[in-house]
Amino acid sequence: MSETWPALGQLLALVVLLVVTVPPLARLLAHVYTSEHHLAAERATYRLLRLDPDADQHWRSYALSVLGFSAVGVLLLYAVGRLQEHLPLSLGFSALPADGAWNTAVSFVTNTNWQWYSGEAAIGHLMQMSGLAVQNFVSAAVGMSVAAAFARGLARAERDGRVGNFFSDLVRTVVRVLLPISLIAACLFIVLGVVQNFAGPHLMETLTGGSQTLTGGPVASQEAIKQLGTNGGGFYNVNSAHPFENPTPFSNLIAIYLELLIPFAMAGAFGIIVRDRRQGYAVGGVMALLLTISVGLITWVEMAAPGTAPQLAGGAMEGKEVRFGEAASALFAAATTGTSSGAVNAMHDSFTAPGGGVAMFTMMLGEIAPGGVGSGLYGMLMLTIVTVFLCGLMVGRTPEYLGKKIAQREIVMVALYVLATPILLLVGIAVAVSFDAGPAGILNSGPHGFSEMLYAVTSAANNNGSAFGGLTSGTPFWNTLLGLLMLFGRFLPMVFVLALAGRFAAAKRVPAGAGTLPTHQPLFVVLLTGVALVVVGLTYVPVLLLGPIAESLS
Amino acid sequence: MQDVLFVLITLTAFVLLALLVGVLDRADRADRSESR
Repeated sequence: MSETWPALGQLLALVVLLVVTVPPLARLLAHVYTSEHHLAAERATYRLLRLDPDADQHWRSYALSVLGFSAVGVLLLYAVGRLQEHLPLSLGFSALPADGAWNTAVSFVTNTNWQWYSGEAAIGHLMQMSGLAVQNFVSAAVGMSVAAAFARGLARAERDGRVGNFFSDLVRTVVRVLLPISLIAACLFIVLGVVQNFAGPHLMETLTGGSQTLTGGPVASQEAIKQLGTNGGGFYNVNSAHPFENPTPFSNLIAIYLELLIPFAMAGAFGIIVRDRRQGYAVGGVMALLLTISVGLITWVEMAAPGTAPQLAGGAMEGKEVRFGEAASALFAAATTGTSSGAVNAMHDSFTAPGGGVAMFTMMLGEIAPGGVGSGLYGMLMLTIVTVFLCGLMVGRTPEYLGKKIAQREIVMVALYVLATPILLLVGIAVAVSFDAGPAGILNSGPHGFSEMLYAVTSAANNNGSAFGGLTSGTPFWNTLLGLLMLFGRFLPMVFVLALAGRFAAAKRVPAGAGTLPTHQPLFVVLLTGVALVVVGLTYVPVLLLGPIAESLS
Repeated sequence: MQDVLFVLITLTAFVLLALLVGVLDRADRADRSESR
């Protein structure tokens, strides 16, 4: 009972912050992705890189630009990891092992930020700033650019598959959105007590006479983009549970707010770009509904955990920070798995079996509640098209969305998108349990041990990056398997999204008729929520039965 | 040796994805020219 009012107050503050700031950010984003004007800093970047920002790219060219840019990013970050010991500000840390450097490079380029290593004990300041933080910015910008291209594809007609300019979208996103907001957020974090310095490791004597090594570093600047870009990779091993990275309940609230800000604003920007704001409200409404369900379920099962200790503590407090409490930990867990952030302020391995199961299910939704920056929007739009198609079948009409007919070719592309992640995830877990090296990394036996592996492949294939804990993943087997899942889990869906964007951009606009399904009304919001839950439910319930559900029943 | 392996894995993965882009584009063009 004592936690109820602070929990509700925190939720209310979060909702108010989002309601006040999402609409102006949505307008800014829509302007960023539709304006023909370039800022001086952007023009200088284009000149330096010899790019033509006004070239309207065909979807094929846009997709190849995304892939080429990301491939170079992986190779560069891999090189930084392998050469770390020769770089300045390395704090004496040696080079990362080959499999670990590759996993880290793929992880940050794909906006996953899965971390097999302990940041304060393996990564020097230069790699944190020039490698990981840079990718925090550009990987987020890549996702937002692809979502903008998809929105443009729906808004355009008869444009021969042209969906915009990738490099212009990328540079504008970084310069006009991510850098300014991150700067403000980093300053706020510093005021709230997050450390920001170049200190190395300090050996401290504790009150009980023991010793402890504390590492400082440029944490606040990284924390800002980590949360804003739904990256999630922490400076410290325990991520946002570390008092240097997330010192107070207020910094915790700001961290959650930053994760949710852009995904919801992208939904609003979508409505403005397609010139029907109601479409953005509908998409954002489904995102909010799914997130609310996840927050409610995790909070409820964690606070109602059976057993004497949880009941005396007011909830299952194992693995949770006392300074945040039960509700703030549950809200953080829902927000971090609903977005593709993956930051944690509590150890999900210690959640109750149903609590961990809901966190896993929220990721399995495909990161749409509200999802990653950009990926949340295009993931939700793909499910919107599935819903429109199913409703069209029911009434016997050729389905259409925003004036674009959904014919066989379009639905094939959507089906490939919807199937890509589940195939990666389920093949990934099958491979993990088929080799001795997979279960060798787990801490627990039985269903909970299976959940530790299932959570890891779910997190990687959906580009979330949060870890259940309990799984020792810093081995060549896990680093390579999870790296492949992250890489294909990011770029396979993107290719299908861009192919569909090109298809829509080339198509004629069909005027809405009497049989057109309204996609902005509450009924459609309910239908879309149902489709999201059923599509995911049918796909993943069997594998969830083996892990969290079996553990809950045992 | 391991470095070569991981660079090759990266390049192979991205080349496969680029090939997929080509396949989808070709299928799209064929479909559109058929419907004309």
